[in-house]
Amino acid sequence: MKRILTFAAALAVLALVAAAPGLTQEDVRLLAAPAFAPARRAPVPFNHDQHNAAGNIEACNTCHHAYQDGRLAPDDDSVGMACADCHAADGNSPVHLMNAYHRQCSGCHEQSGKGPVMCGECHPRE
Amino acid sequence: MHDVYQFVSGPLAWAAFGLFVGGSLYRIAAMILLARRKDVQVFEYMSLRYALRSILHWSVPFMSVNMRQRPVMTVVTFLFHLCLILSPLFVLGHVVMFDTSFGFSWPALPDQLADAMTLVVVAACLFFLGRRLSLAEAQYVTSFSDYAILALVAAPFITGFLAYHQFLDYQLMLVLHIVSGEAMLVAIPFTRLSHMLFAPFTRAYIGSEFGAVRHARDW
Amino acid sequence: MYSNGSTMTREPVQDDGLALGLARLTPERIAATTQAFLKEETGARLQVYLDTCVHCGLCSEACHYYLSHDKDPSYSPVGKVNQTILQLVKKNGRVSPEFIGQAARVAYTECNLCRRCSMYCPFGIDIAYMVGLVRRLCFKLGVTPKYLQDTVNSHSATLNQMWVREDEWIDSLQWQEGEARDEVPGLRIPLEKEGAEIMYSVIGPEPKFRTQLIYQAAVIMHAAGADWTMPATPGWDNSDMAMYSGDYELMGRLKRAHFETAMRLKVKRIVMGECGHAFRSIHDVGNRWLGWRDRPIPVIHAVQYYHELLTSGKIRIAKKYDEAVTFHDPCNIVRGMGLGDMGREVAKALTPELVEMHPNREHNYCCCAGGGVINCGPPFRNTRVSGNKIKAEQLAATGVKTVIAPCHNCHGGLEDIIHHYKLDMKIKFLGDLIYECMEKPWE
Repeated sequence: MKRILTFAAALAVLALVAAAPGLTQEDVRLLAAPAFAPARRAPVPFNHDQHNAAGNIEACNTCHHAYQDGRLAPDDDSVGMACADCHAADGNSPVHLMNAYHRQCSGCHEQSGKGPVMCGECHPRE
Repeated sequence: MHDVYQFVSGPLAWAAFGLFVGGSLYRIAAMILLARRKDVQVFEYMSLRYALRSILHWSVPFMSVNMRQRPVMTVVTFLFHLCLILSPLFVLGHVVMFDTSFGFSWPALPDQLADAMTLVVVAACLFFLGRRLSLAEAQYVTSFSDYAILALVAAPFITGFLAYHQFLDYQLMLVLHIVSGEAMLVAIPFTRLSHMLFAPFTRAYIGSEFGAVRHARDW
Repeated sequence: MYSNGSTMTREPVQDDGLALGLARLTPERIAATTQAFLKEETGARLQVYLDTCVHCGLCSEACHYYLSHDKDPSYSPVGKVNQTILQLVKKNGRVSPEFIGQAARVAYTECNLCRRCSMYCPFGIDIAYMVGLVRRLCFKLGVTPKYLQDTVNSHSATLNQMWVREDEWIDSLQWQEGEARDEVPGLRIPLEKEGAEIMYSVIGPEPKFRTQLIYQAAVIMHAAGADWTMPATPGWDNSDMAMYSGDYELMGRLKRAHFETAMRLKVKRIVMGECGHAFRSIHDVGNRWLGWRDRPIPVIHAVQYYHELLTSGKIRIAKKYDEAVTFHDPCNIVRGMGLGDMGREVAKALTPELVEMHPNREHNYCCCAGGGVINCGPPFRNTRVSGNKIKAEQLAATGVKTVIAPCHNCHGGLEDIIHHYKLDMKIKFLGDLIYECMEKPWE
């Protein structure tokens, strides 16, 4: 009985979300790198254009940084590559994938004083 | 709120850990020095074998007579202390924060288990509260500070549970969780929570006196 | 609802010693003495114990006073700490003379320092040590129960507990020797025999009003062919009420006199009569005050000596005692020396059946006389007797008519309990039974 109720509640929530206006697949991506599967926290909803507008971010490599021979290449960028291409999820890279995300996102948010910094602000409850 | 968050999870966290570690080392060192001057027999009669014998008998559930006489209290106490110590050390959020800051991690508990352990701590605190209120032998020796300490211990677990589930005001809960956790850590060396530091010593000493001098069991 | 550190409800008791001491106290003197005492004589143990105790009350079930008073929490071990030393530390000695009067009553008459509660405290807090501190402070304030102080005065003047004069001591021994020679031709109580193997020492009450115990011991020593002696000088008494009144300086004098007497006689070891508190004083309290980690000379309790005599065949048992018995574990030699099994082995060799009391061995209930409580005399007799209903129930449950207790204080305490609760029981020393049941080659 309990399971059926939970399932029904979940369905209702899904229906509400799907019906919400203005939230389309194109605007909001879920940052859910396949390497994280099975993930223990909900993927982070992320709107690329809105984020950059709000943060006044013009240069791509502010986020899509590129490293050569272990040094940051300030004129280069890594647009088109997945984070996981360099940052392995299993800890074999100097900065593993989860730390890459956490440091990149909340590091910048903390420094700039803008954007979410608490765990649950990015990872909503499912 | 973000400023507050950054403060409590940054400088205040450093201060709390510093006070906890430094305070604990200071209290233990100060007691050892004081004992060297005033309680020489503690060192004179300390016996590794009988200290360990005593610690063993009081670290395993139901290995002492008193634990067998009060099975409910024994089960609650052991579960409480186990969950109290293990869940903060191994809950995913803490491990990940540590990893993000220091690039260093260890295996985390499954979320449901950590959640259950948190509830065990809170339930045990309620049990202890009920015990203090209803049992004459506990009530008689209970003062305000005993309730305050109980609240201090329960607070980080209650707020941690609420923050994890994002019930009520998430930002506020997380900040309260961090602040109350820090308060508890700092309280360990300076309140009756210092039994965490001193219990091994009191146990070792009485175990040595009972075992090596008086040839008797102490459990 | 109880309030922390509240004074308990007790029938008023008139004790001239406590009253006299209290009349001389002022709050200023109490504060000055307490502060000096806490500073000079306490240290890490007290601080850690007070800091570590979480007021869980788990020690309560350990205390026979608590159990005997329908679980009145003011009798629980932690309750006693809260009413006494904790308040003294919290208030840094700024307490009233009335407070000291209550504290003295709790520390001297409502705790036998039996140390059972240390076995029930999850942290192993030595609560008896803290009650002992309260006694020490009360002694320093001059607030001690009259009868207890009288025995201490005797110790101070005569080095024995019972005002026995030197010539009376020698007379008593020679009198018992004479009596025993009627039964056992050639028996001696060797006095001042230098180089003997054993110095046999007893407590003051033996020559005073239990001389038959000296008689029996002499017969047992004779039958065993022991090379033994007793001193003719002060130092023969191994008892120590100063340890319980808090007069540690005097305790040191007593223990030194005792050890030095044995050294002067150049004996190999001291064998003590069946006394518990004297064993405690010699084994791990008085010796420490004198700076001895252990003992300057080996000391064994009568239970150990009897066990040795029986297992080595020096004493043979001719017959069994005529009925089943139970065995009372004296705190100071069982929780204090682990002699419970040895005592039982001796008792079993002498009796047809040994019915156990429960709980037993280290978990025994105290007789409620020890720790100097019986020495506080008639004013506190009821405190003792009503404080040990649990022991009466334990004794009655065995269904036997004889209880063996290898300790003088236990005898005194159990006697009162048996009388008060109308139990039909006799109390025996192990020596009584050995004397009664052993082979006597001269017969």
